[in-house]
Amino acid sequence: MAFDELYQEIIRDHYKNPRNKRELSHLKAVENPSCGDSVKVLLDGDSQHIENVYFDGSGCSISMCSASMMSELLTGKTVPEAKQIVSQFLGVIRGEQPADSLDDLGDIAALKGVIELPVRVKCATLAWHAVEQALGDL
Amino acid sequence: MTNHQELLDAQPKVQRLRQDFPILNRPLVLGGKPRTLVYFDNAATAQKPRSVLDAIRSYDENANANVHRAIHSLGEEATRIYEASRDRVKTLLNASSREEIIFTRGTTDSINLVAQSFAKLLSPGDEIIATEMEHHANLVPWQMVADQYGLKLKFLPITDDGVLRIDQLPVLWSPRVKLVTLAAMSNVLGTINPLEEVIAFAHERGVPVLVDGAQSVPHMRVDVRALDCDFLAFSSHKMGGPTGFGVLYGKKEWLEKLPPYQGGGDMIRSVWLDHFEANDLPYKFEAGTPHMEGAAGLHAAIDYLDAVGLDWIHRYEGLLLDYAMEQLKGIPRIRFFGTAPGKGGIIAFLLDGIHAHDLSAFLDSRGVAVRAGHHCAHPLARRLGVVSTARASFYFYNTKDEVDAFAAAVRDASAQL
Ligand SMILES: Cc1ncc(COP(=O)(O)O)c(C=O)c1O
Repeated sequence: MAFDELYQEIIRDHYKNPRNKRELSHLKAVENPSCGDSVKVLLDGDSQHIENVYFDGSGCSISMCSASMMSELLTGKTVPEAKQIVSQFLGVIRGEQPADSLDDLGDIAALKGVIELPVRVKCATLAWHAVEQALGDL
Repeated sequence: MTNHQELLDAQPKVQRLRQDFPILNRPLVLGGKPRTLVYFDNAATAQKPRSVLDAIRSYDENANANVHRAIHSLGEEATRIYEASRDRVKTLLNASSREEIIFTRGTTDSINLVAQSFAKLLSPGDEIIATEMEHHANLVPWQMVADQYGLKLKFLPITDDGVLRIDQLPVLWSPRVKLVTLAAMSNVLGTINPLEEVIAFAHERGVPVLVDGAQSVPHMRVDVRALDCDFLAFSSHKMGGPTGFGVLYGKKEWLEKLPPYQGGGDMIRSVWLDHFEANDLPYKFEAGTPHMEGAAGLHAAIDYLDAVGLDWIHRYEGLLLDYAMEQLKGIPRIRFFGTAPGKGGIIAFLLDGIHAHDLSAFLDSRGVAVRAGHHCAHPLARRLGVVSTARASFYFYNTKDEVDAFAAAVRDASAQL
């Protein structure tokens, strides 16, 4: 799996124009100690619905675009729906579920290629671990 | 002769040596295009010459049996091979005796051995001096024993160029200092530290020095008697040998003083239900069935390096480094970490605004393997004010053409990312 394929236009777009990114200096970050990438996630809503998802962080294009895609995807979902999507994404990236199951989820399908790059799985899943924690804290 | 001419003149020799390394000639297809592998991640692990691969295979095909235990032909043969490797390490390092050569799982294991055993001789409030540029392997084991025994760790700082502030040694010093530990060469900055000065200073005060030789032993001649270090740790896999194997050199007087590290077979002379008597050196520190293929492979690796010439290796890598720096310097947005004079063949760098992961993924798409990350030195990365860097590290089998391909790829990354 090569860089050229992996860095499709969608990924580049989310990296250059991140969605729902804002400063969240009061929150604690989830970090990837092997590269120093860090992501914070804020869920705005009630215990049933997520109205908005915001993220903040720094890192490589994979970790940042994954965070941006995640925020877009989970906006407006119910909490059970969001939890289901998170576990589906993590399952696919870990290779436990078929990659094609991401195809219905929009931009995030562009990250399927990461499955072939074990070293970068941690980059792709960082924001998802952050949102998993945030969902648990609701 | 200019350095550039010397580099050019060395290329035919390097091309010949490359034929000994099967992996360097493997095909690589990236993004549907055939690419030539440029392996610049040698500080992480080096590639193995065929003679090492053969030695490992030959050990398993002809001699495999447990060492030091079996009174049968294979057992004798295996023990002979294992112990011959110890003798080979002794001559490589110019150690005084074979009892000073302890086989371990690698640098990390060697340092943990000294940390755990040495700390048992210390009292709460005693101090250990390390440096800001240490690999986690020469930091965390000391933090663990500091916690366990109430010891204090102190750190020699570095300059922004990555030079050790050895002038701070007298400032940090106190009568409580019991050990100094430092890398011979930084795996990030490439800085080669002034070991002789540190050792002379510590010895004048009766304090021993441990040298982390993970990055020096593979790349230059290290003579433990000339250096007069008390301990030296290094890994087989960074010098063309197998992984999971390495060496702790220790002066006999120190190894005799230290209590054993791990317990088990081989490290005992006799055992009762409630106590044991430790074996003689070096077996006192070698508990359990060792990595016998490792010993066979390291022996072949040392033979290979000696035949190539460790002095030549050091010289050649310096030429490659200088040439690479010339090629990289003008590239827009490039920033270097570690520019100490006379440093080893390691270049840590970044392109401003590009994450090291993205940079190394781009270089990989061109067939160039560099490392990206903090290189197992979090505190150093923090000191340099970065989270991660890209690192190119050379070995003697790298060529001028590879440096050209690397520099061209970095230039393209700078233009495209
Ligand atoms: C300076 C230094 N010390 C220690 C180590 C640890 O070596 P190993 O992982 O082989 O035990 C390394 C290797 O990365 C190193 O470069």
